[in-house]
Amino acid sequence: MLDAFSLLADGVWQATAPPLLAATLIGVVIGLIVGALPGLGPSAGAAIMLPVAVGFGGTAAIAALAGIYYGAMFGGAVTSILLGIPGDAPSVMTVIDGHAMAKKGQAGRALAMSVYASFVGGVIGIVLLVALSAPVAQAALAFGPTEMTALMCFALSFVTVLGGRNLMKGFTALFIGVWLGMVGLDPIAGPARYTFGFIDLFQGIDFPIVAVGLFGLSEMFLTLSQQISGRAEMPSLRSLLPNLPDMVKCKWVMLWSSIIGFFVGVLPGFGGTAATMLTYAMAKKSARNPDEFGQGAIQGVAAPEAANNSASYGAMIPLFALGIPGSATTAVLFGGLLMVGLQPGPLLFVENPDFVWTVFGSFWIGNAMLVVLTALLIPVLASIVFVSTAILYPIVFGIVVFGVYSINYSMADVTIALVAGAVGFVMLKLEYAPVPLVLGLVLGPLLERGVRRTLILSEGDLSVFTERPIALTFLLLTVAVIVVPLVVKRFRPPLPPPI
Amino acid sequence: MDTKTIDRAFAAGICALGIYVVWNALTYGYMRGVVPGPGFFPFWVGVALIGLGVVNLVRSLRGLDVPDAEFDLAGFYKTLGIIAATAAFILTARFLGMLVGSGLFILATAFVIRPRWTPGFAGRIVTIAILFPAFCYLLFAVYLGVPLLEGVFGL
Repeated sequence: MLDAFSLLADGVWQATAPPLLAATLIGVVIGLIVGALPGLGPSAGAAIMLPVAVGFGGTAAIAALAGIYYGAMFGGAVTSILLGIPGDAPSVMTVIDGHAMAKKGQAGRALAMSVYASFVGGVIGIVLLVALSAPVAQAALAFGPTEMTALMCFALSFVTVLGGRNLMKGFTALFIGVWLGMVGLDPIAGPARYTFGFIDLFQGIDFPIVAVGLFGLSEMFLTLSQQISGRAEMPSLRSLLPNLPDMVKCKWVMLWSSIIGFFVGVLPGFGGTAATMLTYAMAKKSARNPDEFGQGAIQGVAAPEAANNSASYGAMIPLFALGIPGSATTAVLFGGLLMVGLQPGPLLFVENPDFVWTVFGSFWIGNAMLVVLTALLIPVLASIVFVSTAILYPIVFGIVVFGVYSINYSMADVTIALVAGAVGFVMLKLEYAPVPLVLGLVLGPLLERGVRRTLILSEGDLSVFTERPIALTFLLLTVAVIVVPLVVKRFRPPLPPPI
Repeated sequence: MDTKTIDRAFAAGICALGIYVVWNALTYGYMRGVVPGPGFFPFWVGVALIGLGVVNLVRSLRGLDVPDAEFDLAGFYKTLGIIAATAAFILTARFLGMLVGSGLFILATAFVIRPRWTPGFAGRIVTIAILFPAFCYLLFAVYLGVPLLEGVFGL
């Protein structure tokens, strides 16, 4: 454990190199902006910036992309409190008490608490990430192809959570993604599959290009008609200074919200939003005056803000230690890792420890940067919401086009991203969640390779999957994750008709 | 076309995709001796797509889980307009060059999103259309070393 923290200290030192500091700064500033902008969440922001960030080079690229993720958690709170408009889903719970405080003229106090709680959540999240990621990766190193295949099945089974309210449509999106992952040359036997005769498709469909379309463009298409009007009362800089009585009052709420948020964040498919809802409910239940919640309780700001920041670091565990993206944003980060030539998973800690610990070090620095940046940029973040989409979106669309082109210097890639954006737009409208599609596209080829290699080694004997205890456990868990929600849905009593 | 019809058409399209996937999987070879061949996995993925497409279609026809969202026409036309503007940019990039094309792309997308321009808005968006190519040149061509497509104007 101490080794991990000494490696982190080295990583923090490495992350202070000017190019890395600049990449982290760019990432967190963009994160603050996309967090504040309704309609553009961290996944869309990271997807749009992916091609540009990759140009920064390995460690800097991932530092910038991760900065967008946790930066968005800070940014979302600003518009939630000042305007009552959640910039992204994990900020929804902050609206309830944060905006109520702003309406009472306590916007500065609420913002100060959101920044402070976000920082505390971030610190605790990073500490837990550092403490747990290496042991998890170490344990995963013992996995052979059979165990890894069973683990992939388990990860894919989380489509029951990621698939939105319609399970069948979630599975449909998953299988579309798995099919798209098969396009190109078969990795074992060699023939070209589903390429429609296009040589450009022989190397397969680049996952990051599809992610840009599915998460970036489709989200923007959905919000094209959105226009926000209103006025925000700006707090003074003085009112944003830490308020000691509030910190003391919320110290335990922040501590356990951060811990719970982290572990909820680890679970694929749950993430920051679920963590904020859970911790807000717990804060209300444990409060001396639960009636204050909804009227402007300071703990109602502290709990969700600490939880969503901590959850963003929790989501890094399955990504870095197991090579499994559990959310849309970590799927984009997964793509970023592949694009800089790194395979996420336990071997990353063995083969590229400098990279891992420097990236974790950049989290620490980015978290500290955000405290100052959020306070300084509050007026900008509050006013950016009112910038017309007719001004903002053409610029973002333009950057997407140039960014996607710059991945392989190919206009065919821009076409693929555009098609993915259009399909993603229709899928979102029809409630086919795009996250399972990306999960299928990323994990499908790994699963196929794993199953076929295992069966080649066992000469077609399927019993290898049940002879190994770890593989068997994962397969049983997979069945449970898929079957239990279906059974619960089947036997749940019907809701009474609305009165 | 309402959301229900599009939902059904999409489900039917998934079935058709599944049939195409299975058909091709069989030509790739399901088994190679006792081990799975290149068509093994696609076969089962295709079967799943057919099954799920049928289930989604039947559920939609029976009125179960109908999507709440409506296809608002204004948003839909704007999306089509942006797609058309991007397609035009892609098709003309070799002729106009990416930098010149991007300026026109900014004006076209702004027009799609807001067709009625006030003088103030027009001034702002034209300024952006002029500055954006310069920004892209500095970021992509100079900083990231991306070879941008040049057109007949040498830009």
